[in-house]
Amino acid sequence: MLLQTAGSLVAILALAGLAWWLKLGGTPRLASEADVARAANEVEDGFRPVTSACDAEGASALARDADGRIMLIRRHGNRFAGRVLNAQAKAVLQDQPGEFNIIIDPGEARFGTVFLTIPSPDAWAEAINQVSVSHDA
Amino acid sequence: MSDFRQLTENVLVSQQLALEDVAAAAAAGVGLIVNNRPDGEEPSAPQGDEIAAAAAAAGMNYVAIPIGHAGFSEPQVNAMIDALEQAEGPILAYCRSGTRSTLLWALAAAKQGVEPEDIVRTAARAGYDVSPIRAMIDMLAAR
Repeated sequence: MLLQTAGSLVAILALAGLAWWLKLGGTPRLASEADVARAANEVEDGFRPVTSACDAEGASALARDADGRIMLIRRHGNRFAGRVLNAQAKAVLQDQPGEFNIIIDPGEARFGTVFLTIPSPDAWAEAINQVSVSHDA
Repeated sequence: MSDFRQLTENVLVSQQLALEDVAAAAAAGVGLIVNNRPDGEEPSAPQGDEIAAAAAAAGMNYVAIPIGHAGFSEPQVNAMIDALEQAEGPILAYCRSGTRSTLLWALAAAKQGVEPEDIVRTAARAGYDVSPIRAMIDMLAAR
C-alpha cells in the first residue's frame, strides 16, 4: 500500500514536472512581438503582423498585418483569443494612468471589451476607428 | 477617505477601497461589495481576501468579479447581474478608479433592460463615461 502511494506520488510529480517543462498551464503572457505573432497566427492561420503592441500586463495585444488589417488579441483562460477588427470596432482613448490608456470594443458581445496599456495608443485608436468595411473579417 | 459615487439607488462605485472604507460602506447600508480589481494589480493596495475579511466582519457579503487587461465579456456581465439581483441591500463595486466597475454595471443594466440613454446619463452624473462601450450597451439592450 505504501509502495503504491509512493509510486502514485512520483507519477504525479513527474507529470507536474513535464507540464512545467512544456510550459503548460499557468497564465500565458504576450510579452514580445514574437509572442504576438505566434498568438495571431493561432487565431488566423497566415496572419503575419508587421507591427504590434503588447499590453503592459501581457493580457492583450494589437497586431497589424501588411494589408492594414488589425487583430485584437486577449487572454481567454489559459490561451489567447482574437478578432480581426471590422468597421463595428471602436477604440477610445482613456486617461487612466496606471490602469489602461485605450478601450477597444470590437462590437461583438461574445468577445467582449478589452483594456490595454500600450505605447502610442492614439495612433492605434485612429487606425482602428478608420477600419473600413473592406477589412471586415 | 471614502469617495463612493452613487450610480443608482442601489449601486455605488468607488476607486480602490482602503480597509477603513469598508466600515464606511457598512455604515452607508451597503450589503455587498463587488471587487472588480484583480489581485496583484497593485500589490500595495488591500487585496481581495483582506477586503473580503473586512466585509464579513462588518456584516456584508463580498464577491470578486475581476476585470484585468484581458477585459470582460458576457461571463463577467452575467456575474454582475447575479450580484445585482441577489444582493441584500445596495452594492458597492470598486476597481482602481471605478471606471471598470461602472462599465460592467452599464452592460449588466443594459442586459437587464435599462434604456441605453438612461445608462449613459446615469454614469455621466457619477462622473463616468461609458461611451467607449456604447455599441455593446446597445447590443445587449436590444436582445
